[in-house]
Formats: sequence, structure tokens, C-alpha cells
Amino acid sequence: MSVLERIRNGILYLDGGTGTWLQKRGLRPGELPELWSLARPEELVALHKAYFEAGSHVVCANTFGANALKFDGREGRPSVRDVVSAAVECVKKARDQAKGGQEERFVALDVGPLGKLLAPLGELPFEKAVSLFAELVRAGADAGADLVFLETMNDCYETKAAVLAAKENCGLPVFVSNAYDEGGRLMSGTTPEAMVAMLEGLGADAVGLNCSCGPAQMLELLPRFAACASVPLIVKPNAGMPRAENGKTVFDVGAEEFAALMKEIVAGGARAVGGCCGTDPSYIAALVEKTRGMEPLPLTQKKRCVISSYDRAVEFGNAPVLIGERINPTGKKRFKEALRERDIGYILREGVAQQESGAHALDVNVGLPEIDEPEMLETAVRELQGVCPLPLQLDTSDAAAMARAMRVYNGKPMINSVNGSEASMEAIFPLMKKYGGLAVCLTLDETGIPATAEGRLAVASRIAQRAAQYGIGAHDLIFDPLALTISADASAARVALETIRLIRARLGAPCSLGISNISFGLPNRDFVTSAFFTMALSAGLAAAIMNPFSLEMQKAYRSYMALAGLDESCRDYIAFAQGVEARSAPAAQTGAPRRSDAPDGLEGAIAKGLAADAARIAAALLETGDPLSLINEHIVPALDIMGRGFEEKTVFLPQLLMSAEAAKAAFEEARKKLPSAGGAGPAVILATVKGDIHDIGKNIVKALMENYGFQVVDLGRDVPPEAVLEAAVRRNVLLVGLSALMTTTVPAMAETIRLLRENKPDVRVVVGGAVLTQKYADMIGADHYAKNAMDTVRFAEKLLK
Amino acid sequence: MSGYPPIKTVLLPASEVEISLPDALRYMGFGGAEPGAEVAALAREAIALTQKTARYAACSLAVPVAISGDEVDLGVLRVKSASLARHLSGCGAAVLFAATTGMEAERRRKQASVTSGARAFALDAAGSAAIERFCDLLCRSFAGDFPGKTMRPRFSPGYGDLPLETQRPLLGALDAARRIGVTLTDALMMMPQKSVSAVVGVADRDCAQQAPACARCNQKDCAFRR
Repeated sequence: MSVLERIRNGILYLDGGTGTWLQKRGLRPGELPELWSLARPEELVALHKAYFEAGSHVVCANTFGANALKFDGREGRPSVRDVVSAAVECVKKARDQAKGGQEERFVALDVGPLGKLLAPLGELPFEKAVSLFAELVRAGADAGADLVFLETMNDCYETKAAVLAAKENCGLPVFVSNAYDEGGRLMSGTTPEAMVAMLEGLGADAVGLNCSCGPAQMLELLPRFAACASVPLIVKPNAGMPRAENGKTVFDVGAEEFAALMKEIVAGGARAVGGCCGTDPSYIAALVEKTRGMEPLPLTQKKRCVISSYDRAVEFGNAPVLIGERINPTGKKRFKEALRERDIGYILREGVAQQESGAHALDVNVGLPEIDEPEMLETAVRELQGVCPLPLQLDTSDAAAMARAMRVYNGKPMINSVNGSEASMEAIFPLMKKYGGLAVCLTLDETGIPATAEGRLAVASRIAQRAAQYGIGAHDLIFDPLALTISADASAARVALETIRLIRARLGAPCSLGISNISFGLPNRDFVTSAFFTMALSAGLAAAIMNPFSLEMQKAYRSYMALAGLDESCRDYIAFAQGVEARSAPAAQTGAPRRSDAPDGLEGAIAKGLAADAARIAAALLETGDPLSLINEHIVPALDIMGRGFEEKTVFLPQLLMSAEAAKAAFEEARKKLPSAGGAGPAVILATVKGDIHDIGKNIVKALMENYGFQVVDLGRDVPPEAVLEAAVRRNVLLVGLSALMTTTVPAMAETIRLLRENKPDVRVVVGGAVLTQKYADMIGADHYAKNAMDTVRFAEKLLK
Repeated sequence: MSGYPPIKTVLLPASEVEISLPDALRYMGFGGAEPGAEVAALAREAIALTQKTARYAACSLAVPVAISGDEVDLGVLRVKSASLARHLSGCGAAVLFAATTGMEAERRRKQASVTSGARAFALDAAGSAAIERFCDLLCRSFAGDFPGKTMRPRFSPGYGDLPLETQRPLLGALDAARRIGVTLTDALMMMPQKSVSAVVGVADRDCAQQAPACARCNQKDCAFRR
């Protein structure tokens, strides 16, 4: 019987703690336990045998940390393959030798976390994590493991890398158990609902929780898993919490108490049960005895229509879901410029702003003919999910772009879109099988857009049937009834609304609309869009791609929620409505004492760091004035006064930063009136060097330099020397600014400078960062050591202007 | 885990770690200067957000201390450092610890860096004030485990000639990655960034009046000097 059959037919008993046992046998602090499979295999065989005899079906091989970060096969160190095959061999021996216990015995390849944080928060690239896990999986499969058991990871993204590695490198079942804190979140902030959504989308065969907590805490968390998981559940607690007793560690839950709680956990829906830190074979024996004869709860298909991010799951079908539409270059000159200039920060700011305006998810579209869309979509998704906790809707008609974005997406994505044409379904459905996802299905096909609701329903049915052939459940499809434009087609709204009702009634499926299209070509579009939105919600619309900044749309949404009984005591509506009143009242005094020496107008707003005021005043001035003279005669001089104050220590960094933001807001207004970005000043490269991921200082310099008219090419952090050189040559810049915080990264700075000197001798290099001193700067050959941001600006001005 | 001295993991609710406005302002470069109303508001907002998102966690381990020249043996690890040897002289034991304000606060700082440089800077300063305050509270609690003894000021890898490379065995001995989610980049930077690891010596008696931390430090031009 395979392990999958075994778990479907009854309780699957896992093993217990390993570390404790090895420590009792002499494993020293800091010694890698995996080495014992090679040095003292008889100890491992004895341990595994004890677990099999106590009643474990599944025993984990001693491979928890067996990755290439620790076992690279160099300088006498064993390789991953050495460690894994030895470890698996030990379990196989134990399996053959054990007397008593279960008839079916399985060897699990145990895979724990890598111990390094993944980018973009940390520095380990996602694909590097995948390849590290892949090596481990291949070795385990070759050595004869029966399943892959991913455990104890506390990062959603790392877990995805590991599952992909397992699925791409062997055909073994994949069990995934993560370490949740008592509040029910991973360290990455991920909830059980989000993890289950992602893991089931990736094809995990069982999911659950281990380590971190004792059985009592896991019993409390179990209902959340039971409510959303359709695959079997794993629960593998610690023996309670550790405490010190007479200089030794003692776990506070004994075997009998553990087993009694585990019995409740099985009754609560868990199927694969075992123990983690602090448990030993006696715990497993007690657990097996206590649950003898119990039938696990039946597995039920939850059929959730859901997407997820690293942080949260968003479900469709209850309250309407707002999907922010603003990350889309169509009709947006400024956005197109940002894409051409690779100004990722612009995309991120749009994302965060939409989040703050109440969007539940974000559509991401970066389709522009003159750029590399697959690369840009992958980058946008990667970076956006590093700063925004909302799930994303990947919006592209380029299959390569969709594939890359789905691969790096941290969670279960929404896919915009698939349609009734064979080519589209053939391209998208296999991607969904591999990476998981909820697909928006446009109710059109090769023959065009059906004119009637019945016609669109027919396309929807066809798509659902075709999806089923790929093994994609109906709950992973959401249909778009298509909002055409009423100014071109008077029946557009009526047909869309009828389609929503039909699809709900006949297919039992939810719908999502790109709502804004309905009003294209009309004045005051918002009035029509928001009215249509209300009508569609009444007809049962589950989600809309809309503009969260639109007050009309917010009014419609908030009112609907209250009217539909989805807003308890109308609390959210009241807060929203009062907020609207407050905003439309004349701008209140901030209560801050006015600096009597501060000028009024634009200069005053910049001096006081009031970004909204600065933008407003600038916009007003630009109605009659010239943008370039606004910049050169008002914005820059105002900022310069602050800059000089900073140098004289009468103005401090936070004030300078707030003024820079206000100046930038004014500058953005001027930019709207400028013919093109060609008016930008000399280009300067800024980068935090390889190995360093601090960027506050660099970002401060960037903010100031942009306001002083420089075009800043920000290469980001952890930038290899070659990348700096490549950018310097390609953009032909004459000044490179390098930042580093730590002594360990100064060598990377030296290397970067050396490369530049060799290959582009006309470049000047300015360096800064907490670790830098004049001495270091001279040592590594920099042209200038900047003590602070203003110093960099002055140097750049002298050099380039 | 019996057979090893026990590693203690501590989680502290944010309400027990008070971040003072003067501390946050000091890390924003204000020294003793008066901030204007806007900057004070920025700092207060940053403190509030830090408190809302911080998850204070630490793990600690008591170890014996044996010093021979500049070789310091701390039981679970050994280092060669004249500064540490000097710092721990007279100590029969020490407490090793790692502490952090958590990953959620780190994510918020990253988000702020995208939208507002001033906010990001203020959050960074509040985060520094928070972790330092947390460490102060921790060191005080360690003292409770050693009645009648004196705790030396905390000493971290990178101080004096204690090599930064000590971070690896130190965090490894504390099982910091699994217990509190603190890992190291290749360049030995801790993630989350607002994390501290240190050795706290336990002395039989105080060696003369200990001057406050900044007065004893050689970095006279430090922007954060009290």
C-alpha cells in the first residue's frame, strides 16, 4: 500500500523527536546531527527502530538540514548525496529489523528550513532556494524514500520553493507541515487559510502544523485548518513548552497527557499525527494506544474560491472583493514613462496607495510593447509582494509573462485571464495545475464576444468542462461576463447583468467584472461606473476590478455593504461617511505653531514638509506658469535652503526628508506639464553593494538628488560589481554612488571600484554609509567620501553641473 | 533536550516595552536638540506603528566562562578576543542571548521605504530604540537569575576585536533561527535587522563604578552618542 492510500484509509502515525535522543547519546551543541548517519549510523538505526516498534507508520530520515549550504562536498565535508543516502539507509535498515508496530512502514525524506531568509526581504534568491531543495529531493528519491516531508518552515515563500522543488524532481507524495506561532501565523505573517490555499494549489498531498507549540495550542488552531483544507491534516506538536529543572531541560507535557490531547486532535480532524521536540518513542506508543480503533473524520472537498498572498487569503462569494485596477499602463502617460525607465518604485507606490484606499487585491498589468513584458511582470510581482500584503491578480495576455509571474508569486494568484479559445485554455490550464491559481474566465472565444447572456453562459460552461479535463476544479474558476461600453452598445449593461445571474443560477459560479469599461467615452465616468457597480452587486457580482481612489466607487461599495447586511451596525459605513465630511471641510489648522520666519506659498510648504499642500500649490501655479522655471526658481531653491540648514546643523535629517518629499510632490506636478522625461538632468547610479541589504541611506540620497534635478538610476541593494559596471556603461553615467553599512561589505565596494576603473575610467565614485570613513574611502580608491546625503549632492553638483 | 543547559525563549508583549520619544529622536540624529512639531509627530507615529507591529522575542542561554589570555571559553563556543577577555574578566558565568523586534516590523519598514523616506527613516529610528530598550529589559531579567551577582554591560560580535564571524556559532548555539526567526545573511547581517545578539558577563562583584555605555566607547564622533 502506498502512503497516500494508507492515509486515506485511516490514521497515519508519524514519528517523534530526534534531536533530544541524539543529544542524550552525546550530540554536542553546534554539531550537525546529519553527520551521525555517516559516523554513528547504529544510533540512528536504533532510534528509527524504536519508533517503528512503537507504532509509527512513517519515520523521518536524519536529513532535516541536509542541504548544500551545510554539505557542499568540499574540503572533506560530505555532500548532500552522501548524507541523504546514509540517512535513508538507516531508516530502511530499521524498517527491516523492527519487530511489532505497523505492517505498513514508510521512509520519509525530512526537509527542514534552509536557515536563510529569501529575497526580497532577505538575500537568498527564490530560484537558488528551489535548486538547493531540488538537490536534496533528488538524492532522497534516488535513495528510495517513500515520501517527501517538508516540516518546520516558518516562511511561506521558502515553503513554495520546497514544494516546487519536490514536484519538479520526483514523483513522491509531498507532505507539508509548517511552524505556526500561538497566534496562528507563520513568521512570514501567513495564516493557515492562506497556506492551505497555496499548498493545495501546488498539489501538496497533506498539510498541517508542527513544532513551536504543544498539543493544547495545536488543538486550538486545528479548527481553522479543518475548515479550509480538502487534503489530509498533519499535527505534530512539541511535548509542550520547555522549562529548566535542575539545570536540565524538561518539557512540561508527559506522554500520557500528550496522547490524551492527540486523541482530541484526531477527533478534531487530524489524520497524520506524531510528535516533535521533546517527544520520544514512548509518546508515540501512548498516542497509538489512545487512538486505537478510532476512525479519522472523513475528508471533505471544501471547494473554496480563494486567492492568497504571503499574508492572507481572500475568498470570493461572501462579501464583494475589490481589485485595484491602477497598476495598468493603458491611458496613463506617467505610468508608461515609469515602465520605460524601469521605475519599479512607481509601481510599488501605486500598489501601497491602493491598499491604503481599501483594495482587497491588486491587478498587475505592465504590458507595453517596447519593454520586455515577461521580465517586467516577474520583477513587478516579486517586488510588489515584498512590500504589500494584498493578493495579486496577474494581468497579461503573454503566456511567457504569465508563467514567470505565476512561478515567483508568493501565494495562490488570481489569473487574468483565460478565455474560451483553445489556444488560451491550452496555455493557461497547465500553468494552473502546476502553480495553483484562480482563473478569471472571459466569456468570449475565437468567434468573438457573444451578444446575449445565453451565448456568454455557453462559453462559460465550455470553459468549465475543459478545465475539468485538466483536473481543475470548478471552484478555481471565476467568470467575467464582460462589461462593454454603453456609449457604443446600449445593451452592454443589461447583458452583463443577465449573464451574472445566469452563471450564478446555472453554473453556481461567481463572477468578476472589469467595471470601469462600462462608462468609456462618457463625461463624469464615475457616476455611471458606480451605478453599474451597485446594479451588478445586486445581481450577485462577487468581485470587481475598479479604481479604489474613486469616491463614487467607495460610496457605492460602502453603501452596498451596509445595505446587504455585511457591515455590522453599519460601523464601517459610518467611519467612511464621517471621513468624507472631514475631508471636505476647509483644511483644518494642523495646530503646529507657524514658524514666523517660514515663507508662505510653495516655498513654505516645502520648508514645512507638507507634501499635499506643495502639490496643490504647484498645480495651481502651473496653470499660468512654466514648469521649468517653477522647478529652477522655486522648488530647488526652497529645498536648498533646507539643505544648507542641514549642513549647518539647524535643520535635521527628518525635516530634510519631509521637505524632499514635499519638493518631490511639487516636482511631480511640474513633470506632468513637461513634454517628456528628456528634461531630466545628468544620470547618476546609486547602489548598495553586494552582500549588503541596508538601503535607508541610499534612498535618502536618491530622494535629495532627484529633487536637485539628477536622474537617479537606482540599482537597489545587494548589487554585484558587474551589474554596476554594466549599468554605468549602458547608460554612460559619469557618477556612481556606492553605499555600504558593514565592514564585511567594504571589499565588495573595493571590487566594484576596481572594475569601474578598469573598464570605464571616466566614471567618478562617491562612497558613503555608516562603516565608511575617509581612511576606508582612500583605501578602496574612491574619489570622494560623503559624510551625509547633502555632501553627495554637493559633490555631484560640482562634478556634473 | 536534557543533557544541554536549557535555552530559554522569551516573548514579551509590546505593552511591556516602552519606546521613549527622546530615544527615537536620538536615533533620528537630534542629539539633545528640540524637534519641531512636525518631526515630533513623525516620531510619535513611528513609535506607535513600531509598537503595533513589533513581536519582541529573545532566546538566552547561561554558560560557564573560562578565560586564558585572550582565549575565551563559553562552553558552547570559544572565541579569541582580547576585548571580550578584558570585558569578562572576573566573570565565572555569562548569559548569551539573541533578541529581535520581529519580521512584521521589518516588513513595515520596507513598505515605508517605498512610500516615504521620512517615515522609513523614523521607523528605522524607532526600531533601533525599541530593540535597545528590549535588550535593557532582558538584561535586567537575567540579573534576577543571578542574585547577589552583577551583570556586565552587553557585548556583541563586532565590538572591539570580537570578530563579526562569532555571530554564526553564537546564533547557532542559541538555535535562534528556529526559536525566534533570526538568520544571518552571507555578510553576517542579522535578519530581521532590528535584532541584537550579545554576551552578558556575570561578575561576583562590580569592578568599580561602571561609567554609562557611551562614556566608555571610543567612537567620539558617533551621531548617536548620549
